[in-house]
Amino acid sequence: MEIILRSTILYFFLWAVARGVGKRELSEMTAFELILLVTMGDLIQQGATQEDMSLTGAALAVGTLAMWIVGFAYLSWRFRRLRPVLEGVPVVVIHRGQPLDEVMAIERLTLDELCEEARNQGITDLADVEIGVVEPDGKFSFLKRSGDTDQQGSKDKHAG
Amino acid sequence: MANEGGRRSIPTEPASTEIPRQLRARAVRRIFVAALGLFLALGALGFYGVRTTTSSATGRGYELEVRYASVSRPGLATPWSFEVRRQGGFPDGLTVAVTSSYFDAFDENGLGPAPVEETTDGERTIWRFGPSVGDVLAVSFDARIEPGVQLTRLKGQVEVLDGATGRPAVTVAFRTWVMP
Repeated sequence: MEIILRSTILYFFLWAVARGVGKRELSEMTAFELILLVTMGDLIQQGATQEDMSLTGAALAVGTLAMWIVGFAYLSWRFRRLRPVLEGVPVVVIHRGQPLDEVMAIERLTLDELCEEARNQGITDLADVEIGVVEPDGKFSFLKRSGDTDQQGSKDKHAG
Repeated sequence: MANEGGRRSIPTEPASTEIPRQLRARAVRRIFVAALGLFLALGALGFYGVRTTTSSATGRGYELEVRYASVSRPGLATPWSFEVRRQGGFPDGLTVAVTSSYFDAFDENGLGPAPVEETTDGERTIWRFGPSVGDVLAVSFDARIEPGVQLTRLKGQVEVLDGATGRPAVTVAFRTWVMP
């Protein structure tokens, strides 16, 4: 019963945090990332709360992380120059139908992965792509060359 | 929803954005973030423990000072110690009684210095310390509050017992609020 009560309290606290932080931050999280986050949370729990076994301690730890998320989102919105540091920059990996090998190597992106992303968005030939971009959140955007139907899409897969 | 060639049309267009509704949502988020900030600030200031307090009393030549946590949390090391001062020291040793139930809430690592004798009368644990050098006897209890103890106000008291009569010469009461 005690575990149920504690879990219930923590659930509602996390729910309040999730609602309070805003959906834009949460929308960038895939199911895998959520699992990774929970797993990492379990692994770093000892480091964060040490021997504190209280609900208050758990709420302080979660609340602190939430405040950092809100803080970073605000800084990124308020100060444009900080955005590349806080969120990263979009990287062009295809230009006028040609994959940019050097850029792809830096991003640890293989041609197979690029083709897979393009296929997922209905592109049959990379030559049809005017610009292919890996967005800061790891999603891919493809802009088709003029004369073709414009297409822009994304998929929840991270490069590298 | 309209029928087009026998197929039901299901528009995916979201409802139009209502600015007042968005403003209200933003206000609620800001209130939440402010409340969260306040909660964290209080935590940073130690409001939720561990907060240490000192209480003292004098009587019959003894001066008793108890240092304890007024607020603590489960699993945390929680200070508890006392000092007894007496002009002329304690050539015959010193007997101190403490509330047993208070210490039931702790996972103890030890009492230092260790008493030469420990007994109980049911409600109190009675420690008898041997003769010590100097006018001050300082005793500390190294312990953590048990994880299962929470949302509780622990009450206790320390009594220095008169060597001749065995009655309390000086008493200090203390309370510890255990946060959830």
